[in-house]
Amino acid sequence: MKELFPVKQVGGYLFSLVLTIVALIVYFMDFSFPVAMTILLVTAFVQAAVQLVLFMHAGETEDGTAIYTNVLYGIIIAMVTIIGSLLIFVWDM
Amino acid sequence: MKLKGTLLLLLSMLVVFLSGCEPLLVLDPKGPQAERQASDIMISIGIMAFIVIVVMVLLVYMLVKYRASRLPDDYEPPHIEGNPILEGILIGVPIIIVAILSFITVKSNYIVESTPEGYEDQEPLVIYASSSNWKWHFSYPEQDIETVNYLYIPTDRPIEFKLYSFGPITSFWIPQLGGQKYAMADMVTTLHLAADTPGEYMGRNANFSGKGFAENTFTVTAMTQTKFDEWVDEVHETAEPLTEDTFEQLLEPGHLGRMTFTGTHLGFSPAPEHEHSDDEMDSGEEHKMHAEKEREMHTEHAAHE
Amino acid sequence: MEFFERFAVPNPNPAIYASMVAIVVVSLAIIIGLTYFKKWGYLWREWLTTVDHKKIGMMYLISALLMLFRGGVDALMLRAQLSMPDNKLLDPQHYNEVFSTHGIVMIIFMAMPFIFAFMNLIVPLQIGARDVAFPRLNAISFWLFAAGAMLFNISFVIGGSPDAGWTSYFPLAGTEFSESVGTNYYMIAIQISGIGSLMTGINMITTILKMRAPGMTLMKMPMFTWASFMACVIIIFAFPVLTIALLMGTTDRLFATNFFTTTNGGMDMLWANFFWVWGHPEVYILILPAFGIYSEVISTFSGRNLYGYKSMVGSMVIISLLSFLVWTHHFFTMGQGALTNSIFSISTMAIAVPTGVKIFNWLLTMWKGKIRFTVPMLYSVGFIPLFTIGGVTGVMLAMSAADYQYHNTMFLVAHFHNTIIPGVVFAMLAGLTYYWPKMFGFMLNERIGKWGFWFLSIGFVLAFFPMYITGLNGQARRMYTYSEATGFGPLNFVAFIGAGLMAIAFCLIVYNIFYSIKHSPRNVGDDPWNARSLEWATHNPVPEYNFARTPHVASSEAFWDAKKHGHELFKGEIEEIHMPNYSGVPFIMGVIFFICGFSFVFSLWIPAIVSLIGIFACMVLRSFEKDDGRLISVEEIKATESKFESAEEIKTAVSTYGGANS
Repeated sequence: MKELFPVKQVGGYLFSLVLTIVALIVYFMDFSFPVAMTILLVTAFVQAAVQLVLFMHAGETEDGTAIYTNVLYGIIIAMVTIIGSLLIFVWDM
Repeated sequence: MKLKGTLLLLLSMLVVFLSGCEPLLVLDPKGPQAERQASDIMISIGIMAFIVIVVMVLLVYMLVKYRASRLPDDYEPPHIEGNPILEGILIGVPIIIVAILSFITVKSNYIVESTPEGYEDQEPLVIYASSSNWKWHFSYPEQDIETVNYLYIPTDRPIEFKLYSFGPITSFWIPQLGGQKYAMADMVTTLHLAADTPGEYMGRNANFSGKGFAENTFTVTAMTQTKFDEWVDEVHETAEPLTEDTFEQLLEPGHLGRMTFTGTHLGFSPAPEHEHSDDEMDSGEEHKMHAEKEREMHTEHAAHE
Repeated sequence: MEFFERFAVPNPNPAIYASMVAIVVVSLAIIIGLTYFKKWGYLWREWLTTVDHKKIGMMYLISALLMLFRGGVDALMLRAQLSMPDNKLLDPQHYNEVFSTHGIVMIIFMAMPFIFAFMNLIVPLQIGARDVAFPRLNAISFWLFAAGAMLFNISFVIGGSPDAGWTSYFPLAGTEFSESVGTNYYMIAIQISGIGSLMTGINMITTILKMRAPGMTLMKMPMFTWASFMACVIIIFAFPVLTIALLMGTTDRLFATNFFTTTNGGMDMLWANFFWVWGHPEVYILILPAFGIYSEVISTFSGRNLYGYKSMVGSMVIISLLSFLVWTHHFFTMGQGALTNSIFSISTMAIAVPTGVKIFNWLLTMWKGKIRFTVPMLYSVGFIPLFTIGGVTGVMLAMSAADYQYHNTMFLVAHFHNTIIPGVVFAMLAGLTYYWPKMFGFMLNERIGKWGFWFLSIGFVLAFFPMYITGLNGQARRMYTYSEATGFGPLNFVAFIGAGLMAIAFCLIVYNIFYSIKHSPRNVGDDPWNARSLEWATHNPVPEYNFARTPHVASSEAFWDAKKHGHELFKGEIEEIHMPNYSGVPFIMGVIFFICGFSFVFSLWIPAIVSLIGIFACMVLRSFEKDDGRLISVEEIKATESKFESAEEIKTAVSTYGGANS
């Protein structure tokens, strides 16, 4: 019975619904800009991770390490590009 | 041996070119910033020439010693994996060289981005240099003068160029006084220069900006402070004032000769709001201060007249 | 009539009209020729519909050579114009168009297909695979590249060429300062071929990760495969940035979205930033496969294994990561502070370390070797000193304070040609000669090849070394003319002579191909170079299934192991081979993309929408198509194999090419 019922997937589904609701709250509540943005960013990235791990089955096949290495590599490059651009245009003008 | 011959030819050509001709503009500096840059360039050429020579010597050695025609027919090259110590050295030495160059360049960065060395105690002369297709407009708010396509500057005084553009991105460059910087339409960039010796220098837009780019040049004349003051007085006696209409006409695409006006366009066509400089201050606040200072200056000048 | 006016060239001159006539004449000649010799069916069946990685590789190769010709003619015009002070050969507008197209054609439509050609031809063979992971996607990649290249190349006869430089900085490239459709061509043609490049990157990574022969772990892959792998990793992280930047640029020009304008909240610096976030990794996309080819060639002709395999791989991984950390060095002078410049200056110089490791490893590969001076080896030997000069001038440019003086000058132009020509072009020519027998089963003539090498190298030195000097003397790049007083004249004339020699070299290389087709002996056997890695373990030219039996590998030099140490490469019996079916859809999609791009360039919305629907229709069609591929029977394989084996026996007496006495 345990194998037949996809606990992880259903849990993940509920969790992603919760994340969506949390993000939606920002619209209805009167948060300051940094607070609102932080909530949105955190929920968005957690949401993406949930999708990737639970529903796109990253890590379940033999090349799970390769997939995670790639994701990590992509995140590093994205962060570097964003931080670098901010450095050029905002922080060090 | 063709290869050795070519290499020798190359090296001798390089020596002839570097020493034979009259000094190259960039390596013939007339101001502290250009001097710093020229010395950086010479140091790096030295270190780099050393590396190139090492590589070439090793290459020639390998090619001469291990060419098939010199080796016995039954010679079988050995199988050699890497050697950690040797590879460590090959990584270590470049790291040391890069570290030395990094040290030099970081120091130079802060030097070229601030008031020239030896001039810190003087109030810099602020000149607004703006480009339009394909001209340069130089506004002297302090002297209340504007020129087109030529620049008179006093020697032995730091000069702070405020750069911006009325069109495509351009780059303000006077090789003998110092390196270039971009002039853009939505912000002001700052370039610190100074001239040590009187003389006439080439200046140009170095960044491609369309059809008239090649002729987008200006001349810089550096002169003593007294002569500069004489020139300022002369301009105020002879030149026409710059009106908004005249300025609009000047901005039309095309080429113009040298022109001189009293007054600047900064009054009716101020520089872009956004400041892009190296100061550590909060840019918004700093800009306000600048604007206030300028307003003061303008009113001061108005009072003079 | 008004409708057709938009297609007129805004800035015509006799040379453009002559090209128009030439294009029409050549196209007619091709059509008549194909009809007369009844080759339409052959062309369609064997080439236009092919999904075979080798044929796609060859088509990339032919395109690259054609584009090299186009870009080379541009270069000759530029050097001729600058050969004398106040020269009147080209007017400024033409000069601007010519240098813009020269840059784009050489980078996007010459160097990129050249490296894709070798990736396609060699990577599946080096890892013992039958084809790439997604053969039909591979064909689509090629036809998208071809569509982009064609679209870009018709710009100078229909509507006008881009004239804002290959970097196309806004606001110069915006509608305000660049009124012709030239920059639309730039945005859309590069977009189309860029999508193709991205798909090739994904395809190659999948192929390398999933389809290696049994026994071939990552650290037992031949070096060219490693290099291609790292280049593709860079592709999939860098090209999306270009895609988005081009999309924003396109909407800026077509729909006035103001992303990069200087008013209405736009930011012109953002284009420069995006462009170089892609642009710098792009040069490593080009150079890494070139490094891979040099590794193969130097190791083969030194008769030795590659020195420091692990540090070679490590340095490429580090280069691929660092390539994303340095883009700001293309605009040190844009006004950011000393801190930012220092950070990017140091990260740029850091790339010199892994690159230096590679140079010394190649030198140490020759150490204690037995060096044969064949044409591929000559290119590799010429590459080492010339590329070192290009590399060290790169370190000089990386010193940001000094870069204020080099930026936008001929010094910079000299530097990047000094890395791209000995780095990429030499490698491609070395690869062309080295892998020619692999593709066609006969050799290129060594004598003519050597003449070509010497003309190219000497021409290169004469053409580009003077630029270092005029750059330091204040000659800005992209100036269409200069006055005599500047003193740039003599050195620019030397550069013109150099360009002429390089043109002769190109003619010699093409002549060599025709000469060898006519005169080279056909039975060169399977191992003409006494090579080492797995791609040489099959026949020349390679049969469509690559390997009759799947090879089993124990090191990065599987073929050498088999030759010298009795390693058993092929085990077991020949079995049926499963191969993908050919398909016309990729070619049709390429044609539709071309029409779509053309319609967007001229804002013809109805055909644009119709062709977009067509593209989606092709994709839907593919989703519902049931295609299980086809099987090659054992008899057929055995027949092919025995044909090769009998040819091999005739040839055994003939000694290896480029032997000890050459």
